[in-house]
Amino acid sequence: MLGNDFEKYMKNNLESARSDWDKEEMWADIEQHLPPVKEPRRLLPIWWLSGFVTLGLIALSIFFWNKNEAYNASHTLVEIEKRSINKTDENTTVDKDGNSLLFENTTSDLLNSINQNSEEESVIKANSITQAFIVKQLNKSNANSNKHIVNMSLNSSTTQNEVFAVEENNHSNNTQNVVSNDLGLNSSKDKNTSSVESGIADLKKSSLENGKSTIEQMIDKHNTAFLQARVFSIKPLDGIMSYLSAPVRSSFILNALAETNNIINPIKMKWLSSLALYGSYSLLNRALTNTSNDNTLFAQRNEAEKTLEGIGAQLSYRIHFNNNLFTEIGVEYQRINEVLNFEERIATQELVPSDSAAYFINFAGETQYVAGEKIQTRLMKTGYSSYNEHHFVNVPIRIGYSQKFDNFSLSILAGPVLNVYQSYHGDVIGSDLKFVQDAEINGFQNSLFTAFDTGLYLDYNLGKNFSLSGGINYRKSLSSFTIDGVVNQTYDTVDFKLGILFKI
Amino acid sequence: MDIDKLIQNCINNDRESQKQFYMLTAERLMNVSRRYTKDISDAKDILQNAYIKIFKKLENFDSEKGNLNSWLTKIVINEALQLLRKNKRLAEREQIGNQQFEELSTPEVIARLQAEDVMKLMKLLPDGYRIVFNMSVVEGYSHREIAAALNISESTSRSQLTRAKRMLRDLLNDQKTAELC
Repeated sequence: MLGNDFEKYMKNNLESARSDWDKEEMWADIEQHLPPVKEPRRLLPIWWLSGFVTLGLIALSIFFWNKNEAYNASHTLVEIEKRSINKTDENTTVDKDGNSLLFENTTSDLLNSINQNSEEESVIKANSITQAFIVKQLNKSNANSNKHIVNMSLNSSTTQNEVFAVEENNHSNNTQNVVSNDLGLNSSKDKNTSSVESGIADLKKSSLENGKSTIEQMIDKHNTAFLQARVFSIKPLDGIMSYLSAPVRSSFILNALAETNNIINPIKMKWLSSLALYGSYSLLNRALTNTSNDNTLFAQRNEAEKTLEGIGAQLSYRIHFNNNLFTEIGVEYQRINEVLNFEERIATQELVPSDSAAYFINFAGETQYVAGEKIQTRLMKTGYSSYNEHHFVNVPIRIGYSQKFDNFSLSILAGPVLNVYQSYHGDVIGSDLKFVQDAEINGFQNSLFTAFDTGLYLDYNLGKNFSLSGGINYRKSLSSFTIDGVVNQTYDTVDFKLGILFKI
Repeated sequence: MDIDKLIQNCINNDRESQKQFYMLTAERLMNVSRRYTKDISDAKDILQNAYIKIFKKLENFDSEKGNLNSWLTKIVINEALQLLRKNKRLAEREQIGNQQFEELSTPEVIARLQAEDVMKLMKLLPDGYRIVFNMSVVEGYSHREIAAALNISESTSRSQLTRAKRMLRDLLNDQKTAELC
């Protein structure tokens, strides 16, 4: 009976005993051995910052979008330039019937008329022009294809005269047809390229009767103006060169050389921005730096750890400021693989029986024998091999310059890389040189600006909206990080990238 | 704050929660630690090391698999055994046959003893006796579990418990004699 009571009594007393000791002091000691408290995550402000930058860039792109009056043809921006046309009394051209041709009397009256009817003006003086086109473009909202080109061919006895102009906007969608009808376009033919000899003849006749040129009549009728567009060959410029300023002349010549005899369809530039999705493979150059007086761990890590490769993916938003200059911001995930081959050496000491023995008399008064003991040191080597991963989430911000060559485009990009998240998964060598399995360390980056990128990319145009893009990027690390508090490490990388550009 | 939330905060390395957890449990665990050592400084070392391990391994604790107190106690005991192994080999090589525990004839003496006195008596026991007594009587381990933990045979565990009880009995009798004088 007492046996059980005794045990219960002892248990109760032993469990209720209280100790007089300084809890706070011990806590201070314990706290020193606990992992350091992480700094408040900067992730949220960084994402906010990134969000604001992105929104700003989008707003900027919309601003440029609305302001842009550019037109794209074969991905070449074509500026519609204002022209002033001087009156000329010479260069009267005669058609095969001996009548004066349409545009011989393009005078200041015409210009006045144009100016009154439009905020912009320009008509190419076409008196002796051998070729030109009259092109009408409907209002902006409808100016999305080349349907609105009206190609008027005028036959003279010696040359074919064409005028190429672009009608100012602010008029109904039907204007095209009206103009086409005026010009006698045959609807059964391609309105863009129909020959309009009969229509022209009517206009010429009318012109002679009312003293107004064909264009003047068209302007009167449609209450619109005609803007000069591009002239596509040097030859047609012969007759108007003297009316053009030197820069304009040069511009025409250059354009003509570039686009010899090709009609450039005035398509409104539809994209000023693009999305890019890249995958990457990286070659790594890791540098370790010791921050401690004891270089044991540093030496051990240098010996045991080897880098393998980096892989990654990036989604970027690119905004074009003009035909060449652009900026882009993206979100990038990068993983760096490493291998750890480590031999852990642990020396242990233990008591083992020896040949000696001892005896003593215990509290019960009994003689108790104890075998002799000796200390034995045992060195244990354990080999470990593991594959470990660094994970990075970065926000690269870049400025780029591109130059187009037919279907290709060569771009240079450069800019800082912001690191918003970093983690390590794998095994590590502990500061006590012991193997630590399955270490997972998160959010230990110590600098937002982690690297600087410089890249060279070549894009191949796959069609209206897509381009295939490949490039090489060099990433120079600007800040180091540590996963063990002793050894700092950095990675410089050479990234080979392949991706798709989607033009928005 | 409920204990699950407190544990989760500790796992997340929240320093305030860790301190709160320590303050809540330290008294009881210190008690455990002291029962296994003769020296208060050893008890403190054991407890300090135990807490470092506790906070490191707290995420492995599964409340569905076991009681938190038992889990904490086990860590402290393991730490205590580790320390004691460093100082002295625990296993008694002398095999002693099971002996019947004689009933204590003076319960009134026991009744007068306070908890601290019992703790002091425990300190008079050899390490091996004290550990086996604690593990068996206080913690409720079976001899099989004790044998496995101490790397001794079950019969050794039984004999040490018997001898621990007998020694405590003698010590109590001595105390009684001293009080009567």
